Amino acid sequence: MLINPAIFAERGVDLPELPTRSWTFDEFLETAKKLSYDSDGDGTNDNFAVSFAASDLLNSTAWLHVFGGRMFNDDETEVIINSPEGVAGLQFMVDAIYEYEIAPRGAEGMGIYDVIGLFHQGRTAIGYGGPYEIGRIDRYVNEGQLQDAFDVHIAPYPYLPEVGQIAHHTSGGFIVFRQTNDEKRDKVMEFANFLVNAENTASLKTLLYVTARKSVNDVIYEGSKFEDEISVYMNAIEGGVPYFGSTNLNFSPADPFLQAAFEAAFSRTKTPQEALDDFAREANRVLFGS
Amino acid sequence: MKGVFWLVALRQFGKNVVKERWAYFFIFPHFALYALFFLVPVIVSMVLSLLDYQWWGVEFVGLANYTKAFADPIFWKSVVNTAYYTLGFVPLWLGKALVISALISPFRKQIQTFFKAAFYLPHVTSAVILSMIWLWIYNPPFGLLNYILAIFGVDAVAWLGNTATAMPAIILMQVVMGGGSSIVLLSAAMNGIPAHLYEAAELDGAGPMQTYLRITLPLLKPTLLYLVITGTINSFQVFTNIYLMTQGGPQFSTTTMVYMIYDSAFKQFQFGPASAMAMVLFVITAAFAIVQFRWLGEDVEY
Repeated sequence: MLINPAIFAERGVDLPELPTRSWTFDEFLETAKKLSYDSDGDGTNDNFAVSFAASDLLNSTAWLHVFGGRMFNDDETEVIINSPEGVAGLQFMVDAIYEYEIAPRGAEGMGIYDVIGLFHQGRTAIGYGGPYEIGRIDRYVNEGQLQDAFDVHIAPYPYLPEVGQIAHHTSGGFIVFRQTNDEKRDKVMEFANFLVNAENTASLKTLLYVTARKSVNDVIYEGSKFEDEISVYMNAIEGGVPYFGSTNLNFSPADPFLQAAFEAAFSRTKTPQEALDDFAREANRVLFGS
Repeated sequence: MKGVFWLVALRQFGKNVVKERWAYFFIFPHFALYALFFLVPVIVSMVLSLLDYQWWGVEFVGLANYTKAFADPIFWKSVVNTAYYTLGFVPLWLGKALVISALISPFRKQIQTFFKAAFYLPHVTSAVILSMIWLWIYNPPFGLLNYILAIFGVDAVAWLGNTATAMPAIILMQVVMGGGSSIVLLSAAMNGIPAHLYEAAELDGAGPMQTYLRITLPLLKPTLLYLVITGTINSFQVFTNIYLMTQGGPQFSTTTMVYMIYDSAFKQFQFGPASAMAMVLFVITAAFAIVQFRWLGEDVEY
Protein backbone atom coordinates (compact mmCIF):
# COMPACT_ATOMS: atom_id res chain seq x y z
CA MET A 1 0.00 0.00 0.00
CA LEU A 2 1.00 3.64 -0.37
CA ILE A 3 0.51 6.11 2.43
CA ASN A 4 0.59 9.89 2.30
CA PRO A 5 2.55 11.01 5.39
CA ALA A 6 1.37 14.63 5.06
CA ILE A 7 -2.26 13.61 5.60
CA PHE A 8 -1.28 11.38 8.51
CA ALA A 9 0.52 14.35 10.09
CA GLU A 10 -2.35 16.72 9.38
CA ARG A 11 -4.80 14.36 11.09
CA GLY A 12 -2.38 13.75 13.98
CA VAL A 13 -2.11 10.05 13.23
CA ASP A 14 1.11 8.10 13.68
CA LEU A 15 2.57 6.29 10.72
CA PRO A 16 3.07 2.56 11.10
CA GLU A 17 6.58 2.12 12.34
CA LEU A 18 9.74 1.18 10.52
CA PRO A 19 11.50 -1.09 9.76
CA THR A 20 8.47 -3.04 8.47
CA ARG A 21 5.58 -0.54 8.97
CA SER A 22 3.39 -3.57 9.55
CA TRP A 23 0.08 -2.92 11.30
CA THR A 24 -2.65 -5.16 12.60
CA PHE A 25 -6.10 -4.89 11.11
CA ASP A 26 -7.44 -3.26 14.31
CA GLU A 27 -4.65 -0.66 14.21
CA PHE A 28 -5.41 0.00 10.57
CA LEU A 29 -9.14 0.42 11.17
CA GLU A 30 -8.57 2.80 14.06
CA THR A 31 -6.16 4.82 11.92
CA ALA A 32 -8.51 4.79 8.93
CA LYS A 33 -11.36 6.23 10.99
CA LYS A 34 -9.14 9.12 12.09
CA LEU A 35 -8.04 9.76 8.52
CA SER A 36 -11.62 10.00 7.23
CA TYR A 37 -13.48 13.24 7.87
CA ASP A 38 -16.08 15.71 6.69
CA SER A 39 -14.32 18.83 5.45
CA ASP A 40 -17.31 20.90 4.35
CA GLY A 41 -19.63 20.23 7.27
CA ASP A 42 -22.45 18.66 5.25
CA GLY A 43 -22.59 15.66 7.55
CA THR A 44 -20.91 13.12 5.28
CA ASN A 45 -17.25 12.31 4.94
CA ASP A 46 -15.53 13.67 1.84
CA ASN A 47 -11.96 12.74 2.71
CA PHE A 48 -11.21 9.11 3.22
CA ALA A 49 -8.57 6.67 4.36
CA VAL A 50 -8.81 4.33 1.37
CA SER A 51 -10.89 3.67 -1.71
CA PHE A 52 -12.03 0.56 -3.53
CA ALA A 53 -12.88 -0.05 -7.16
CA ALA A 54 -14.92 -2.99 -8.43
CA SER A 55 -12.93 -3.31 -11.63
CA ASP A 56 -9.60 -3.14 -9.77
CA LEU A 57 -9.60 -6.89 -9.21
CA LEU A 58 -6.09 -7.09 -7.85
CA ASN A 59 -6.41 -4.64 -4.96
CA SER A 60 -10.01 -5.56 -4.18
CA THR A 61 -9.15 -9.25 -4.03
CA ALA A 62 -6.32 -8.40 -1.64
CA TRP A 63 -8.83 -7.49 1.07
CA LEU A 64 -10.45 -10.92 0.82
CA HIS A 65 -7.02 -12.44 1.35
CA VAL A 66 -6.31 -10.17 4.33
CA PHE A 67 -9.19 -11.95 6.05
CA GLY A 68 -7.85 -15.38 5.11
CA GLY A 69 -9.91 -16.01 2.00
CA ARG A 70 -8.20 -17.96 -0.76
CA MET A 71 -9.28 -18.19 -4.36
CA PHE A 72 -8.65 -21.93 -4.83
CA ASN A 73 -8.42 -25.08 -2.82
CA ASP A 74 -4.93 -26.56 -2.42
CA ASP A 75 -4.92 -28.58 -5.63
CA GLU A 76 -6.50 -25.72 -7.61
CA THR A 77 -9.53 -27.69 -8.73
CA GLU A 78 -12.19 -25.52 -7.15
CA VAL A 79 -12.87 -21.84 -6.45
CA ILE A 80 -13.46 -21.42 -2.72
CA ILE A 81 -13.27 -17.66 -2.21
CA ASN A 82 -16.87 -17.77 -0.96
CA SER A 83 -15.52 -19.25 2.27
CA PRO A 84 -16.44 -17.49 5.55
CA GLU A 85 -13.04 -15.76 5.46
CA GLY A 86 -13.51 -14.44 1.92
CA VAL A 87 -17.02 -13.27 2.73
CA ALA A 88 -15.70 -11.52 5.87
CA GLY A 89 -13.19 -9.66 3.67
CA LEU A 90 -15.87 -8.49 1.28
CA GLN A 91 -18.17 -7.61 4.17
CA PHE A 92 -15.40 -5.42 5.58
CA MET A 93 -15.13 -3.56 2.26
CA VAL A 94 -18.88 -2.94 2.19
CA ASP A 95 -18.82 -1.84 5.84
CA ALA A 96 -15.84 0.39 5.12
CA ILE A 97 -17.99 2.27 2.62
CA TYR A 98 -21.38 2.37 4.32
CA GLU A 99 -20.78 1.83 8.04
CA TYR A 100 -17.30 3.13 8.89
CA GLU A 101 -17.31 5.66 6.02
CA ILE A 102 -13.57 5.26 5.58
CA ALA A 103 -13.94 4.70 1.81
CA PRO A 104 -16.02 6.69 -0.68
CA ARG A 105 -19.29 5.44 -2.10
CA GLY A 106 -19.51 4.57 -5.78
CA ALA A 107 -16.86 1.85 -5.68
CA GLU A 108 -19.10 -0.25 -7.95
CA GLY A 109 -18.52 2.28 -10.74
CA MET A 110 -14.87 2.99 -10.13
CA GLY A 111 -11.66 1.69 -11.66
CA ILE A 112 -8.01 1.71 -10.68
CA TYR A 113 -7.43 5.18 -12.15
CA ASP A 114 -10.19 6.59 -9.96
CA VAL A 115 -8.40 5.09 -6.97
CA ILE A 116 -5.09 6.55 -8.12
CA GLY A 117 -6.79 9.90 -8.83
CA LEU A 118 -8.29 10.10 -5.34
CA PHE A 119 -4.91 9.35 -3.80
CA HIS A 120 -3.12 11.90 -5.97
CA GLN A 121 -5.70 14.57 -5.12
CA GLY A 122 -5.22 13.93 -1.41
CA ARG A 123 -8.83 12.76 -1.08
CA THR A 124 -7.59 9.43 0.25
CA ALA A 125 -4.63 9.00 2.55
CA ILE A 126 -3.85 5.45 1.47
CA GLY A 127 -3.44 4.12 -2.06
CA TYR A 128 -2.20 0.93 -3.58
CA GLY A 129 1.01 -0.16 -5.23
CA GLY A 130 4.69 -0.56 -4.70
CA PRO A 131 7.66 1.80 -5.03
CA TYR A 132 7.05 2.08 -8.77
CA GLU A 133 3.94 4.16 -7.97
CA ILE A 134 6.21 6.83 -6.48
CA GLY A 135 7.67 7.14 -9.96
CA ARG A 136 4.16 7.63 -11.35
CA ILE A 137 3.71 10.74 -9.18
CA ASP A 138 6.87 12.34 -10.61
CA ARG A 139 5.83 11.33 -14.12
CA TYR A 140 2.36 12.87 -13.71
CA VAL A 141 3.90 16.11 -12.40
CA ASN A 142 6.23 16.24 -15.41
CA GLU A 143 3.32 15.55 -17.77
CA GLY A 144 1.19 18.24 -16.12
CA GLN A 145 -1.41 15.75 -14.86
CA LEU A 146 -0.60 16.52 -11.25
CA GLN A 147 0.26 19.92 -9.84
CA ASP A 148 2.69 19.03 -7.07
CA ALA A 149 4.69 15.99 -6.16
CA PHE A 150 4.23 14.70 -2.63
CA ASP A 151 6.00 12.25 -0.38
CA VAL A 152 4.77 8.69 -0.31
CA HIS A 153 5.68 5.86 2.01
CA ILE A 154 5.18 2.17 1.48
CA ALA A 155 3.30 0.02 3.99
CA PRO A 156 2.09 -3.56 3.86
CA TYR A 157 -1.59 -4.48 3.95
CA PRO A 158 -2.84 -4.72 7.54
CA TYR A 159 -2.85 -8.23 8.91
CA LEU A 160 -5.02 -10.34 11.13
CA PRO A 161 -2.82 -12.23 13.63
CA GLU A 162 -4.57 -15.51 12.82
CA VAL A 163 -3.96 -15.06 9.09
CA GLY A 164 -0.60 -13.30 8.88
CA GLN A 165 0.89 -10.86 6.41
CA ILE A 166 -0.29 -11.09 2.81
CA ALA A 167 0.76 -9.56 -0.48
CA HIS A 168 0.13 -10.40 -4.09
CA HIS A 169 2.56 -12.95 -5.44
CA THR A 170 2.87 -13.12 -9.19
CA SER A 171 5.52 -13.41 -11.81
CA GLY A 172 6.09 -12.22 -15.29
CA GLY A 173 8.80 -12.38 -17.86
CA PHE A 174 9.78 -13.52 -21.28
CA ILE A 175 9.05 -16.99 -22.58
CA VAL A 176 11.68 -18.51 -24.81
CA PHE A 177 10.79 -21.74 -26.54
CA ARG A 178 13.48 -24.36 -26.78
CA GLN A 179 15.72 -23.41 -29.67
CA THR A 180 17.41 -25.90 -31.95
CA ASN A 181 18.67 -23.20 -34.26
CA ASP A 182 22.13 -22.00 -33.10
CA GLU A 183 21.67 -18.50 -34.45
CA LYS A 184 18.32 -18.05 -32.66
CA ARG A 185 19.79 -19.47 -29.43
CA ASP A 186 22.65 -16.97 -29.60
CA LYS A 187 20.21 -14.13 -30.18
CA VAL A 188 18.13 -15.21 -27.20
CA MET A 189 21.22 -15.23 -24.98
CA GLU A 190 22.28 -11.87 -26.36
CA PHE A 191 18.86 -10.47 -25.47
CA ALA A 192 18.99 -12.01 -21.99
CA ASN A 193 22.41 -10.47 -21.40
CA PHE A 194 21.12 -7.13 -22.65
CA LEU A 195 18.26 -7.21 -20.15
CA VAL A 196 20.59 -7.71 -17.19
CA ASN A 197 23.48 -5.53 -18.29
CA ALA A 198 24.76 -2.81 -15.96
CA GLU A 199 22.94 -0.02 -17.76
CA ASN A 200 19.54 -1.70 -17.58
CA THR A 201 20.07 -2.80 -14.01
CA ALA A 202 20.87 0.84 -13.14
CA SER A 203 17.70 2.01 -14.90
CA LEU A 204 15.65 -0.14 -12.52
CA LYS A 205 16.67 2.32 -9.87
CA THR A 206 15.25 5.29 -11.75
CA LEU A 207 11.93 3.46 -12.13
CA LEU A 208 12.02 2.29 -8.51
CA TYR A 209 11.57 -1.29 -9.67
CA VAL A 210 12.93 -4.15 -7.65
CA THR A 211 14.46 -7.30 -9.02
CA ALA A 212 13.57 -10.86 -8.14
CA ARG A 213 17.12 -11.25 -6.82
CA LYS A 214 17.05 -9.63 -3.38
CA SER A 215 20.81 -9.16 -3.11
CA VAL A 216 20.72 -6.93 -6.20
CA ASN A 217 18.11 -4.66 -4.59
CA ASP A 218 20.27 -4.26 -1.49
CA VAL A 219 23.10 -2.99 -3.67
CA ILE A 220 21.00 -0.80 -5.97
CA TYR A 221 19.10 1.10 -3.29
CA GLU A 222 21.75 1.22 -0.53
CA GLY A 223 22.03 4.82 0.69
CA SER A 224 19.16 5.95 -1.55
CA LYS A 225 16.36 8.09 -0.08
CA PHE A 226 14.09 5.21 -1.03
CA GLU A 227 16.10 2.63 0.91
CA ASP A 228 13.50 2.37 3.70
CA GLU A 229 10.64 2.11 1.22
CA ILE A 230 12.33 -0.63 -0.73
CA SER A 231 13.11 -2.45 2.51
CA VAL A 232 9.46 -2.22 3.67
CA TYR A 233 8.30 -3.39 0.26
CA MET A 234 10.68 -6.33 0.15
CA ASN A 235 9.55 -7.35 3.61
CA ALA A 236 5.86 -6.95 2.69
CA ILE A 237 6.06 -9.25 -0.31
CA GLU A 238 7.48 -12.01 1.88
CA GLY A 239 3.87 -12.99 2.59
CA GLY A 240 3.14 -13.37 -1.09
CA VAL A 241 0.04 -15.31 -2.08
CA PRO A 242 -0.91 -15.96 -5.72
CA TYR A 243 -4.38 -14.39 -5.49
CA PHE A 244 -5.50 -15.82 -8.84
CA GLY A 245 -3.84 -19.22 -8.65
CA SER A 246 -0.55 -20.48 -9.98
CA THR A 247 0.78 -19.51 -13.37
CA ASN A 248 -0.43 -22.86 -14.80
CA LEU A 249 -3.98 -21.66 -14.38
CA ASN A 250 -5.63 -19.14 -16.69
CA PHE A 251 -7.91 -17.15 -14.42
CA SER A 252 -8.96 -14.58 -17.01
CA PRO A 253 -12.27 -16.29 -18.01
CA ALA A 254 -13.40 -15.72 -14.41
CA ASP A 255 -12.37 -12.03 -14.33
CA PRO A 256 -15.74 -10.60 -15.46
CA PHE A 257 -17.57 -12.67 -12.84
CA LEU A 258 -15.26 -11.50 -10.06
CA GLN A 259 -15.80 -7.89 -11.11
CA ALA A 260 -19.56 -8.54 -11.13
CA ALA A 261 -19.32 -9.87 -7.56
CA PHE A 262 -17.56 -6.72 -6.36
CA GLU A 263 -20.06 -4.54 -8.24
CA ALA A 264 -23.00 -6.39 -6.70
CA ALA A 265 -21.59 -6.20 -3.18
CA PHE A 266 -20.49 -2.56 -3.39
CA SER A 267 -23.87 -1.50 -4.76
CA ARG A 268 -25.56 -3.70 -2.13
CA THR A 269 -27.69 -5.43 -4.74
CA LYS A 270 -26.37 -8.67 -3.26
CA THR A 271 -24.97 -9.53 0.15
CA PRO A 272 -21.23 -10.38 0.18
CA GLN A 273 -22.19 -14.02 0.69
CA GLU A 274 -24.55 -14.03 -2.31
CA ALA A 275 -22.07 -12.13 -4.48
CA LEU A 276 -19.22 -14.54 -3.75
CA ASP A 277 -21.45 -17.62 -3.98
CA ASP A 278 -22.57 -16.50 -7.45
CA PHE A 279 -18.99 -15.76 -8.42
CA ALA A 280 -17.72 -19.14 -7.19
CA ARG A 281 -20.46 -20.96 -9.11
CA GLU A 282 -19.73 -19.12 -12.37
CA ALA A 283 -15.96 -19.29 -11.92
CA ASN A 284 -16.11 -23.05 -11.32
CA ARG A 285 -18.23 -23.35 -14.45
CA VAL A 286 -15.93 -21.35 -16.75
CA LEU A 287 -12.65 -22.57 -15.26
CA PHE A 288 -13.39 -26.20 -14.49
CA GLY A 289 -16.66 -26.94 -16.28
CA SER A 290 -18.29 -27.88 -12.98
CA MET B 1 -24.45 -27.96 -72.43
CA LYS B 2 -23.69 -26.60 -68.96
CA GLY B 3 -20.04 -26.07 -69.95
CA VAL B 4 -21.07 -24.04 -72.97
CA PHE B 5 -23.30 -21.85 -70.81
CA TRP B 6 -20.45 -21.02 -68.46
CA LEU B 7 -18.13 -20.37 -71.36
CA VAL B 8 -20.59 -17.88 -72.86
CA ALA B 9 -21.17 -16.22 -69.49
CA LEU B 10 -17.42 -15.92 -68.89
CA ARG B 11 -16.88 -14.46 -72.34
CA GLN B 12 -19.67 -11.94 -71.76
CA PHE B 13 -18.16 -11.00 -68.39
CA GLY B 14 -14.76 -10.51 -70.05
CA LYS B 15 -16.32 -8.28 -72.68
CA ASN B 16 -18.05 -6.22 -70.00
CA VAL B 17 -14.82 -5.81 -68.06
CA VAL B 18 -13.03 -4.57 -71.19
CA LYS B 19 -15.91 -2.28 -72.08
CA GLU B 20 -16.17 -0.80 -68.57
CA ARG B 21 -12.45 -0.99 -67.86
CA TRP B 22 -12.16 2.57 -66.58
CA ALA B 23 -15.01 2.08 -64.16
CA TYR B 24 -13.35 -1.11 -62.85
CA PHE B 25 -10.02 0.70 -62.73
CA PHE B 26 -11.43 3.43 -60.51
CA ILE B 27 -13.36 1.14 -58.16
CA PHE B 28 -10.47 -1.32 -57.85
CA PRO B 29 -8.58 0.48 -55.03
CA HIS B 30 -11.72 0.70 -52.91
CA PHE B 31 -12.73 -2.87 -53.71
CA ALA B 32 -9.23 -4.16 -52.91
CA LEU B 33 -9.30 -2.48 -49.49
CA TYR B 34 -12.89 -3.65 -48.92
CA ALA B 35 -11.90 -7.20 -49.80
CA LEU B 36 -8.77 -7.10 -47.68
CA PHE B 37 -10.27 -5.56 -44.57
CA PHE B 38 -13.87 -6.79 -44.77
CA LEU B 39 -14.54 -9.73 -47.07
CA VAL B 40 -11.43 -11.72 -46.17
CA PRO B 41 -11.88 -11.25 -42.37
CA VAL B 42 -15.56 -12.22 -42.66
CA ILE B 43 -14.68 -15.41 -44.54
CA VAL B 44 -11.84 -16.18 -42.11
CA SER B 45 -14.21 -15.55 -39.22
CA MET B 46 -16.75 -17.97 -40.73
CA VAL B 47 -14.06 -20.63 -40.96
CA LEU B 48 -12.75 -19.85 -37.45
CA SER B 49 -16.24 -20.30 -36.03
CA LEU B 50 -16.01 -23.98 -36.97
CA LEU B 51 -12.57 -24.51 -35.46
CA ASP B 52 -11.01 -24.90 -32.05
CA TYR B 53 -8.23 -22.45 -32.75
CA GLN B 54 -5.41 -22.45 -30.21
CA TRP B 55 -1.82 -21.36 -30.50
CA TRP B 56 -0.68 -24.96 -30.23
CA GLY B 57 -2.99 -26.31 -32.90
CA VAL B 58 -6.24 -26.17 -34.85
CA GLU B 59 -9.06 -28.70 -34.77
CA PHE B 60 -12.34 -28.83 -36.69
CA VAL B 61 -15.22 -28.88 -34.18
CA GLY B 62 -18.24 -28.29 -36.40
CA LEU B 63 -20.96 -26.30 -34.66
CA ALA B 64 -19.54 -26.80 -31.15
CA ASN B 65 -18.56 -23.13 -30.86
CA TYR B 66 -22.13 -22.11 -31.65
CA THR B 67 -23.47 -24.57 -29.08
CA LYS B 68 -21.03 -23.17 -26.53
CA ALA B 69 -22.08 -19.58 -27.27
CA PHE B 70 -25.80 -20.41 -27.08
CA ALA B 71 -25.28 -22.22 -23.77
CA ASP B 72 -23.57 -19.19 -22.23
CA PRO B 73 -26.06 -17.08 -20.21
CA ILE B 74 -23.81 -14.03 -20.58
CA PHE B 75 -24.06 -14.31 -24.37
CA TRP B 76 -27.86 -14.09 -24.16
CA LYS B 77 -27.53 -11.20 -21.74
CA SER B 78 -25.31 -9.47 -24.29
CA VAL B 79 -27.98 -9.99 -26.98
CA VAL B 80 -30.62 -8.43 -24.70
CA ASN B 81 -28.26 -5.57 -23.75
CA THR B 82 -27.50 -4.87 -27.40
CA ALA B 83 -31.20 -4.76 -28.19
CA TYR B 84 -31.78 -2.51 -25.16
CA TYR B 85 -29.04 -0.16 -26.30
CA THR B 86 -30.35 -0.08 -29.88
CA LEU B 87 -33.97 0.49 -28.86
CA GLY B 88 -32.90 3.20 -26.45
CA PHE B 89 -30.36 4.91 -28.64
CA VAL B 90 -31.75 4.92 -32.18
CA PRO B 91 -35.10 6.66 -31.48
CA LEU B 92 -33.51 9.28 -29.19
CA TRP B 93 -30.60 9.90 -31.57
CA LEU B 94 -32.93 10.24 -34.55
CA GLY B 95 -35.42 12.31 -32.56
CA LYS B 96 -32.66 14.68 -31.53
CA ALA B 97 -31.49 14.99 -35.14
CA LEU B 98 -35.04 15.69 -36.35
CA VAL B 99 -35.65 18.34 -33.71
CA ILE B 100 -32.29 20.08 -34.25
CA SER B 101 -32.69 19.98 -38.05
CA ALA B 102 -36.17 21.48 -37.76
CA LEU B 103 -34.96 24.18 -35.36
CA ILE B 104 -32.05 25.29 -37.53
CA SER B 105 -33.81 25.03 -40.90
CA PRO B 106 -35.46 28.50 -40.72
CA PHE B 107 -32.05 30.20 -40.28
CA ARG B 108 -30.03 31.54 -43.17
CA LYS B 109 -27.39 29.27 -44.66
CA GLN B 110 -24.35 30.58 -42.72
CA ILE B 111 -26.05 30.11 -39.36
CA GLN B 112 -27.25 26.64 -40.39
CA THR B 113 -23.68 25.77 -41.35
CA PHE B 114 -22.44 26.99 -37.97
CA PHE B 115 -24.88 24.78 -36.09
CA LYS B 116 -24.25 21.79 -38.34
CA ALA B 117 -20.50 22.16 -37.78
CA ALA B 118 -21.04 22.55 -34.03
CA PHE B 119 -23.13 19.39 -33.82
CA TYR B 120 -20.70 17.54 -36.09
CA LEU B 121 -17.73 18.43 -33.92
CA PRO B 122 -17.97 15.39 -31.60
CA HIS B 123 -17.68 13.21 -34.72
CA VAL B 124 -14.16 14.41 -35.36
CA THR B 125 -13.22 14.11 -31.70
CA SER B 126 -11.62 10.90 -30.49
CA ALA B 127 -14.06 8.51 -28.83
CA VAL B 128 -11.39 8.00 -26.18
CA ILE B 129 -11.38 11.70 -25.27
CA LEU B 130 -15.18 11.83 -25.19
CA SER B 131 -15.28 8.75 -22.98
CA MET B 132 -12.70 10.22 -20.61
CA ILE B 133 -14.74 13.42 -20.30
CA TRP B 134 -17.94 11.49 -19.62
CA LEU B 135 -16.19 9.21 -17.17
CA TRP B 136 -15.34 12.36 -15.25
CA ILE B 137 -18.91 13.67 -15.55
CA TYR B 138 -20.27 10.36 -14.22
CA ASN B 139 -17.55 9.80 -11.61
CA PRO B 140 -19.24 8.89 -8.31
CA PRO B 141 -17.12 10.78 -5.72
CA PHE B 142 -16.08 13.85 -7.70
CA GLY B 143 -18.03 13.88 -10.99
CA LEU B 144 -19.76 16.94 -12.41
CA LEU B 145 -23.21 15.34 -12.53
CA ASN B 146 -23.19 14.32 -8.87
CA TYR B 147 -21.77 17.73 -7.95
CA ILE B 148 -24.73 19.45 -9.62
CA LEU B 149 -27.21 17.02 -8.07
CA ALA B 150 -25.66 17.57 -4.63
CA ILE B 151 -26.58 21.28 -4.90
CA PHE B 152 -30.21 20.14 -4.98
CA GLY B 153 -29.66 17.74 -2.11
CA VAL B 154 -29.62 14.58 -4.23
CA ASP B 155 -27.30 11.81 -3.03
CA ALA B 156 -24.39 10.76 -5.22
CA VAL B 157 -25.16 8.02 -7.73
CA ALA B 158 -22.65 5.59 -9.22
CA TRP B 159 -24.03 6.15 -12.71
CA LEU B 160 -21.80 3.59 -14.37
CA GLY B 161 -21.74 1.27 -11.36
CA ASN B 162 -25.45 0.74 -10.95
CA THR B 163 -27.17 -1.88 -13.09
CA ALA B 164 -30.23 0.36 -13.46
CA THR B 165 -28.35 3.46 -14.59
CA ALA B 166 -25.26 2.21 -16.44
CA MET B 167 -26.85 1.50 -19.83
CA PRO B 168 -29.07 4.62 -19.77
CA ALA B 169 -25.94 6.63 -18.90
CA ILE B 170 -24.10 5.21 -21.92
CA ILE B 171 -27.13 5.86 -24.14
CA LEU B 172 -27.46 9.43 -22.86
CA MET B 173 -23.80 10.10 -23.57
CA GLN B 174 -24.12 8.72 -27.09
CA VAL B 175 -27.29 10.72 -27.78
CA VAL B 176 -25.77 13.97 -26.51
CA MET B 177 -22.52 13.46 -28.40
CA GLY B 178 -23.99 11.81 -31.50
CA GLY B 179 -26.28 12.93 -34.25
CA GLY B 180 -23.88 15.21 -36.12
CA SER B 181 -23.96 13.36 -39.42
CA SER B 182 -27.70 12.69 -39.20
CA ILE B 183 -28.33 16.42 -38.63
CA VAL B 184 -26.26 17.24 -41.72
CA LEU B 185 -28.15 14.65 -43.81
CA LEU B 186 -31.59 15.67 -42.55
CA SER B 187 -30.83 19.38 -43.03
CA ALA B 188 -29.74 18.70 -46.60
CA ALA B 189 -32.90 16.66 -47.21
CA MET B 190 -35.06 19.42 -45.69
CA ASN B 191 -33.42 22.04 -47.88
CA GLY B 192 -34.25 19.86 -50.87
CA ILE B 193 -38.00 19.94 -50.21
CA PRO B 194 -39.59 22.29 -52.81
CA ALA B 195 -40.63 25.63 -51.28
CA HIS B 196 -43.91 25.66 -53.20
CA LEU B 197 -45.20 22.80 -51.07
CA TYR B 198 -44.81 24.91 -47.93
CA GLU B 199 -46.36 27.92 -49.68
CA ALA B 200 -49.37 25.84 -50.70
CA ALA B 201 -49.73 24.51 -47.16
CA GLU B 202 -49.56 28.02 -45.75
CA LEU B 203 -52.24 29.20 -48.18
CA ASP B 204 -54.40 26.29 -47.10
CA GLY B 205 -54.04 27.47 -43.49
CA ALA B 206 -51.71 24.73 -42.17
CA GLY B 207 -49.82 25.61 -38.97
CA PRO B 208 -46.09 24.90 -38.44
CA MET B 209 -46.74 21.57 -36.73
CA GLN B 210 -49.15 20.39 -39.41
CA THR B 211 -46.68 21.44 -42.11
CA TYR B 212 -43.92 19.54 -40.40
CA LEU B 213 -45.97 16.39 -39.87
CA ARG B 214 -47.76 16.38 -43.26
CA ILE B 215 -45.03 17.69 -45.58
CA THR B 216 -41.57 17.65 -44.04
CA LEU B 217 -41.64 14.25 -42.33
CA PRO B 218 -43.15 12.27 -45.23
CA LEU B 219 -40.64 13.77 -47.65
CA LEU B 220 -37.78 12.93 -45.30
CA LYS B 221 -38.69 9.23 -45.33
CA PRO B 222 -35.90 8.05 -47.65
CA THR B 223 -33.30 9.82 -45.49
CA LEU B 224 -34.95 8.56 -42.31
CA LEU B 225 -34.96 5.03 -43.66
CA TYR B 226 -31.26 5.25 -44.42
CA LEU B 227 -30.54 6.68 -40.95
CA VAL B 228 -32.65 4.08 -39.12
CA ILE B 229 -30.87 1.23 -40.91
CA THR B 230 -27.34 2.59 -40.53
CA GLY B 231 -28.09 3.72 -36.97
CA THR B 232 -29.36 0.26 -36.04
CA ILE B 233 -26.36 -1.46 -37.60
CA ASN B 234 -23.98 0.91 -35.80
CA SER B 235 -25.83 0.40 -32.53
CA PHE B 236 -25.51 -3.35 -32.84
CA GLN B 237 -21.77 -2.79 -33.14
CA VAL B 238 -21.39 -0.49 -30.14
CA PHE B 239 -18.05 -1.16 -28.47
CA THR B 240 -15.64 1.74 -27.90
CA ASN B 241 -17.56 3.53 -25.16
CA ILE B 242 -18.45 0.27 -23.46
CA TYR B 243 -14.83 -0.81 -23.50
CA LEU B 244 -13.57 2.51 -22.19
CA MET B 245 -16.28 3.32 -19.69
CA THR B 246 -17.74 0.16 -18.17
CA GLN B 247 -15.87 -2.87 -19.51
CA GLY B 248 -19.26 -4.54 -19.79
CA GLY B 249 -20.17 -3.99 -16.13
CA PRO B 250 -21.72 -3.55 -13.69
CA GLN B 251 -22.77 -7.17 -13.40
CA PHE B 252 -22.76 -7.54 -17.21
CA SER B 253 -25.49 -4.90 -17.58
CA THR B 254 -23.56 -3.17 -20.40
CA THR B 255 -21.97 -6.25 -21.93
CA THR B 256 -22.96 -5.90 -25.58
CA MET B 257 -22.40 -8.49 -28.29
CA VAL B 258 -19.32 -6.82 -29.75
CA TYR B 259 -17.81 -6.32 -26.30
CA MET B 260 -18.47 -10.01 -25.61
CA ILE B 261 -16.80 -10.94 -28.90
CA TYR B 262 -13.80 -8.76 -28.01
CA ASP B 263 -13.61 -10.25 -24.53
CA SER B 264 -13.75 -13.82 -25.84
CA ALA B 265 -11.25 -13.26 -28.63
CA PHE B 266 -8.70 -10.87 -27.20
CA LYS B 267 -8.90 -11.37 -23.46
CA GLN B 268 -9.74 -15.08 -23.27
CA PHE B 269 -8.11 -15.98 -26.62
CA GLN B 270 -11.16 -18.07 -27.50
CA PHE B 271 -11.18 -17.25 -31.20
CA GLY B 272 -13.60 -20.01 -32.20
CA PRO B 273 -16.47 -19.07 -29.87
CA ALA B 274 -15.80 -15.37 -30.55
CA SER B 275 -16.10 -15.98 -34.29
CA ALA B 276 -19.30 -17.95 -33.76
CA MET B 277 -20.75 -15.01 -31.82
CA ALA B 278 -19.61 -12.66 -34.58
CA MET B 279 -21.49 -14.77 -37.12
CA VAL B 280 -24.63 -14.66 -34.97
CA LEU B 281 -24.30 -10.87 -34.77
CA PHE B 282 -23.86 -10.73 -38.54
CA VAL B 283 -27.06 -12.72 -39.09
CA ILE B 284 -29.07 -10.67 -36.56
CA THR B 285 -27.85 -7.36 -38.02
CA ALA B 286 -28.56 -8.45 -41.59
CA ALA B 287 -32.02 -9.71 -40.61
CA PHE B 288 -32.85 -6.42 -38.89
CA ALA B 289 -31.63 -4.40 -41.86
CA ILE B 290 -33.76 -6.46 -44.28
CA VAL B 291 -36.86 -6.25 -42.08
CA GLN B 292 -36.44 -2.50 -41.60
CA PHE B 293 -35.88 -1.95 -45.30
CA ARG B 294 -38.95 -3.98 -46.24
CA TRP B 295 -41.18 -2.60 -43.50
CA LEU B 296 -40.19 1.04 -43.43
CA GLY B 297 -39.43 1.21 -47.13
CA GLU B 298 -42.85 0.10 -48.29
CA ASP B 299 -44.13 3.60 -49.04
CA VAL B 300 -40.83 5.37 -49.62
CA GLU B 301 -40.57 7.12 -52.96
CA TYR B 302 -37.12 7.96 -54.25
